[in-house]
Amino acid sequence: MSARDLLLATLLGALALGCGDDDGSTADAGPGVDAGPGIDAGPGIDAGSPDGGPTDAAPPLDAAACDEGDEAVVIACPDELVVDCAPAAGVEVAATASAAACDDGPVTVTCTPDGDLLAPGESEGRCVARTEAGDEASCTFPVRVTAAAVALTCPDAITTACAGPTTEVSLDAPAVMDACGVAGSPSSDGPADGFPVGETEVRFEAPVEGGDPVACTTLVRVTDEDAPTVMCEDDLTLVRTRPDEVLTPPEAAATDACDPAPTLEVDTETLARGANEVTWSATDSAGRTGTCVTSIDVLEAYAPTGVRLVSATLRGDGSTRVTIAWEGAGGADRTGYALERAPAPGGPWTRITTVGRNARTANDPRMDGGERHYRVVTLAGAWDGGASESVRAYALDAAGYDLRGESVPTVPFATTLYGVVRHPRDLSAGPYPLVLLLHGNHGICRRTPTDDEDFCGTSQDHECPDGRFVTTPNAEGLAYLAETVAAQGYVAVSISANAMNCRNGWIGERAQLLRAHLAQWAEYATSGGAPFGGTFRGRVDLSRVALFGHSRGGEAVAAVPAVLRDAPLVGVNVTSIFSLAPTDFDGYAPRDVAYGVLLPACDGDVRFLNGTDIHDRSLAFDDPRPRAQVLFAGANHNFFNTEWRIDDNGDGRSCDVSLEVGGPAQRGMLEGVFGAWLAGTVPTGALPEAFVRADAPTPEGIDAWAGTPLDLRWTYAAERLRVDDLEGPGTPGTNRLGEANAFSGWSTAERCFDNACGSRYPHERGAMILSWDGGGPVASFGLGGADGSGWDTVSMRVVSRRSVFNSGADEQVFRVILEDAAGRRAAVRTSDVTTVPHLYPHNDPLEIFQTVRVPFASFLAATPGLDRSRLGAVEVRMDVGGYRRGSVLLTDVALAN
Amino acid sequence: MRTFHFGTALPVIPEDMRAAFPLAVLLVAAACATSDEATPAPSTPSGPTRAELEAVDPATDPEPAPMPRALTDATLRLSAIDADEGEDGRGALVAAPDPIALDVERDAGWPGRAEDPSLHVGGLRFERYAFPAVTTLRFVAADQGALPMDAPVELHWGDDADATVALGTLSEARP
Repeated sequence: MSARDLLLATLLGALALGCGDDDGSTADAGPGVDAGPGIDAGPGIDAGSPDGGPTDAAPPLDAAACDEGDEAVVIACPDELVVDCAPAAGVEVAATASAAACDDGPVTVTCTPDGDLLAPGESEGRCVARTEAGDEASCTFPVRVTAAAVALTCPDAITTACAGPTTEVSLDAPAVMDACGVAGSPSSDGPADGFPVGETEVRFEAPVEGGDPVACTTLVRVTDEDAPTVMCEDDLTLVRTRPDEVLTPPEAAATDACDPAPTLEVDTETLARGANEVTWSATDSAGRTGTCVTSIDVLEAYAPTGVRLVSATLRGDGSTRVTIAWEGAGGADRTGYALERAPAPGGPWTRITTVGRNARTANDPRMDGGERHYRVVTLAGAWDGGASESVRAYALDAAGYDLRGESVPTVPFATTLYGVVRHPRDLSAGPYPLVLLLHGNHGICRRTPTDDEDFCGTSQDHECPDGRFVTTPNAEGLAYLAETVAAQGYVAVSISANAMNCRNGWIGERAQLLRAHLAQWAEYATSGGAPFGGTFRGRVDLSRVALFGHSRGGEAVAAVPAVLRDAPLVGVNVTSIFSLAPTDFDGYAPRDVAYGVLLPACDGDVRFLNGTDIHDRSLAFDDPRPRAQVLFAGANHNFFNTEWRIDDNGDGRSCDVSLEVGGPAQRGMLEGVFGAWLAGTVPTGALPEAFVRADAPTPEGIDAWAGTPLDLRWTYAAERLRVDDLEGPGTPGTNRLGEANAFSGWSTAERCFDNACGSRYPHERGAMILSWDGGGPVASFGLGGADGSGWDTVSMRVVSRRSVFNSGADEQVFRVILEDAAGRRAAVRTSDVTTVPHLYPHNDPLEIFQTVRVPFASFLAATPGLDRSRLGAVEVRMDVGGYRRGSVLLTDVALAN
Repeated sequence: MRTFHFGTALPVIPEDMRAAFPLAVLLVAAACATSDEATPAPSTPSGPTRAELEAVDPATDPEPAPMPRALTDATLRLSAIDADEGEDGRGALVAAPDPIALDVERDAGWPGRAEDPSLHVGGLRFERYAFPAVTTLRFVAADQGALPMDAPVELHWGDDADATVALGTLSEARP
């Protein structure tokens, strides 16, 4: 029997007993309610108590209870009626009261509740006594029905140390106290997979038969006494490989015995150069913190830029020596560089050599394979810094041809086609563009193969005609340049013009000789021919031919475009020409090709630097292809050819000998400059490097290979809008745009041409002589609203004159001012973009122009609101402090790219 | 007594952290990436120059020789010649009624250079030349009777006045 059943039976039994004596004749309390165990019955009807007396029943009454007053009947109710352990559905409850008629007559008592089903709760009971005469008396009392009572008692709170992310905890079952009721087995909401660290309230609940379940709670406290373990890197060194690289501490990790994911933090987000103490902190769910410290030394060694193949040599054993040059890398911790080689641009890389921090060149003494890639890695002690982009190099091979009895137009005898060939060993990777190189006029006979002196003889072939002498290898003297070029991916051929040497002029004949070689190479490249057979068939690209010539050869190459216009060769297209120290016997003007000219400032042979004339004439065409001229201070005429070993500057006829840079420097410069020239003019869409465009100094790598800081003065023109060349109608008052020029404040502002510009002015070019002595004079060239949006720079050519106004001057600094149509002005000092030295080291220097190019970006930086789409004028203003007196020649003002 | 069991303790490393163990040395790994592919050459303070390259190449003589300021050892000789044409000294090549070769001899021979030699005889200028021998620079005058025999004779190269060679007079050179 359950507690609940017992309660009901007891209660109902008690009520039945009371109700069975209901004749009402007496006012006995009657059967009370035996609330049963566990019920706090209170002072109610308890007829079933062991002593048989009501505990809280109304006392029996009789007439004596009547007052002497006038009442007819008296009644006494219980103080309260309490029924314990009642089921939720209620219990039948009947109340009784004692009553007596004062006349001792019969009395009837009726009560409420009277067998009513009362749910647990409180209500009011009422009893009424009536006499037969109808007199009544009544009383009330509280009725309290209490619910069945079952209780759970949970175990006490428990505290235990964690054993993992969750901890197994054993809890005693709660105690069930079922004084009046029947409880089922308790259950718990405690986590089945263990308790986490911290406090967890566990609720036990037990069902109660016929009633609401009962519950209790207890607390489980899992403690974590150990801090997390943090695992960070051992002390290490990191290298920043580029200036904008953000270095962060390497990842750390943390574990905790009881927290699967402790919070991990680091006190340093980004690492600075030098020593960094980086502390990682991990905090677990219990709030305990562990740390790990890594000492990180950050070095800065940025990747080199401007990596180039500056030289290559075919060695006697057939291997290729390659020299790589680069620009110095940034990074305060760089200690040196490593040259690395790979079979493909992506590696794998093999370290070839290491050099010091001041080095800008390194070589691979024996390049293997056919095609290799080189890169330069900046070193910071034992650590690798940034790696450069890679540059490709081809292993070299040599060949040659010596074809006799060849007929060459304009040459009045059958002659030799003699070529010294250098080409990539792996021809299958071609076709490679063809580069022809032509030496200059020079003796063709020497006493011994290693003699320095060469002598003229008149020959119809390659050989010296005098059997007492050996033939001067004039073509071989440019083999070094052919090798460097070939390693860059060209078939380079240095041809002999020994049969043209030691004759009057013979420029046109040399140009025809070049054409004959081009025709021969057209044959080699298509059908093949002796002595190569089919070796070069399909391996030579004649649609992109470059020509290089020295001295008279330099003039001859400039004549080739005209020769080919008159007598084209099918499939042959010359795209690039470079003249070194050319003569100018015949006044050629190369057009429809890229044209560059090198002027050796200490030239003791072509002393008037006649290459300026060829270059100036090439500017006459609105040809967007590059035009460049470079004055090379300290260079003589001969030393660009390894076989021309006599210094034409003699004991200082042009320059003090101490100013000469020497043969190796000249050849080193030429390798770098000619390589850059080819790279910027032969490939489709190529753009010459910044230094060729007069936009940047000579690359350090070229200086380094030359072995001396090179003093190069460039002029450059390409796609441009000619504002004024001082040669148009109305000059100088009206410029090429038809706009007005104005010259104000000058001591002299005079337009000149050729010799009228001065005895040391070598240019075939109109110019303005501008001399000033204070006052800030201005030369203004009207632009008439020209749209500058499509142009990159404002360009002009200028040279500091040989003039008393320039006494003591080292350079010229002035301002170039760009004004838009609305009058907004932007000024840029020339010294911010380039250097305009006063002349150059020479006994009797010429006035050689150099180009000053001011980027539009500089103007816009100076005046952001400048409207470049409608330009009003460009001005040259001489008002910079320290340069308020001077004299210059100025020409070729242009908007240029 | 009934006992309630709650879970089993397991130390856990989060999945996304496992990859971090063992922690790799970052970024600097490249320092040794190629160290076993080649034996690095000793570090040198600076890279090679073209001069250094040529200094170790026995095929190239790095020492230049200065060119004499003037070829003072040249002599002028007049020689009879059988020629149909010769220069008139005024820029023209004309029929030669009385040709004569103006040979400038130099035992050491004549260097070739960019500029052409020209022979100035008084006010006449002869520009067409040939080298019948390595030691002989020859100009041909169309009419020896028209030559100023006592005028100074000079050899020039282009407009290079510094390279002038004085050769006396034709009278002195007459055999």
